[in-house]
Amino acid sequence: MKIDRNLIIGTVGLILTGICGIFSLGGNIGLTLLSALFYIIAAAAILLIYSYLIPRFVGINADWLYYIPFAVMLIVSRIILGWDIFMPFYAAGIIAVTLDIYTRYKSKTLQGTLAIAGAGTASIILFAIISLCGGVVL
Amino acid sequence: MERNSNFKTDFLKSAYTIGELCVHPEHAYKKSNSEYIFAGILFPCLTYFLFALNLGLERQSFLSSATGFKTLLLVFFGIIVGFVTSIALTGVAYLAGRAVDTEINGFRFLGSIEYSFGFSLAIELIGLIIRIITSANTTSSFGILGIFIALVFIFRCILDLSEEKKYICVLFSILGGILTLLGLNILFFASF
Repeated sequence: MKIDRNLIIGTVGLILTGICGIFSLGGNIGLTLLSALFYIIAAAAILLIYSYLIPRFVGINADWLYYIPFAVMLIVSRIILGWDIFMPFYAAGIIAVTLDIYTRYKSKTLQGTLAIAGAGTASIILFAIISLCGGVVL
Repeated sequence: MERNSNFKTDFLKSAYTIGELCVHPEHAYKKSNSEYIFAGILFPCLTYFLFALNLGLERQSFLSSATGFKTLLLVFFGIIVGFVTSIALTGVAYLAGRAVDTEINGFRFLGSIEYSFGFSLAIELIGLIIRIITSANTTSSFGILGIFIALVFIFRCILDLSEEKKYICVLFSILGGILTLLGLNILFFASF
């Protein structure tokens, strides 16, 4: 996997999202630590899917700049506005990245389209399951 | 009879154009017909109307002080917030265009912002229907997500303003996002 500026932006965005997710968790310290570990694994898996598997499959790399506004909005909502909402920001960010890949994907074959849509759906479901298990009200 | 047929054809043509603009909001910028831009203002207003109605119904379910009249006021306030938010986002996009040396027509860009709320309107409607049928809390899962889906399209329009100065466009997108959050925050904590 080539380490470039785009990948660093994606990693930072997903780490910030994971940290905000951990602060939204309810329950005891053990469950929170376990969920935090799963968030890290999920973030790594999503980066692997979007910056390695998808480019190999459809030839287009994810542009993580589309995710950044939602990550920053999540932090603003959490710290300044005091909201306890986490999933809509993450879901919208992933939809933005997925939509960008699909827009730049010129050949639009059925397999490629299904792979892009599947990556987006799986990424959202992965975070949603971890959040639900950790006690976040979706 | 012929006039009736012409009316039907024109109506279907307009409905098709509006549907196409909701899927590709960036195409609204190319439309010079101002009637589409004026008609498009319904999308953000209706989206925020449904969001505020969902929020008002949620308040009524757990707050004893929440009455039908207060929900009505919240809904009216929601329409105003929707209108102001779309204007504010257009202003941000215009400033972004100035910052990256891309000349944009603010009035036409308003069309793109308005039609970005097309999908959001559908999501808000689905959320409201689910709330009415199941009494589930859909303000966060459908309400906020619906408005963020509009931001996905709006941010795309802003980020596409410049390929070289994309980082500046990201900063303006963040500014637009924060303004939208402030609008939602006003609705959340409106003391009606």
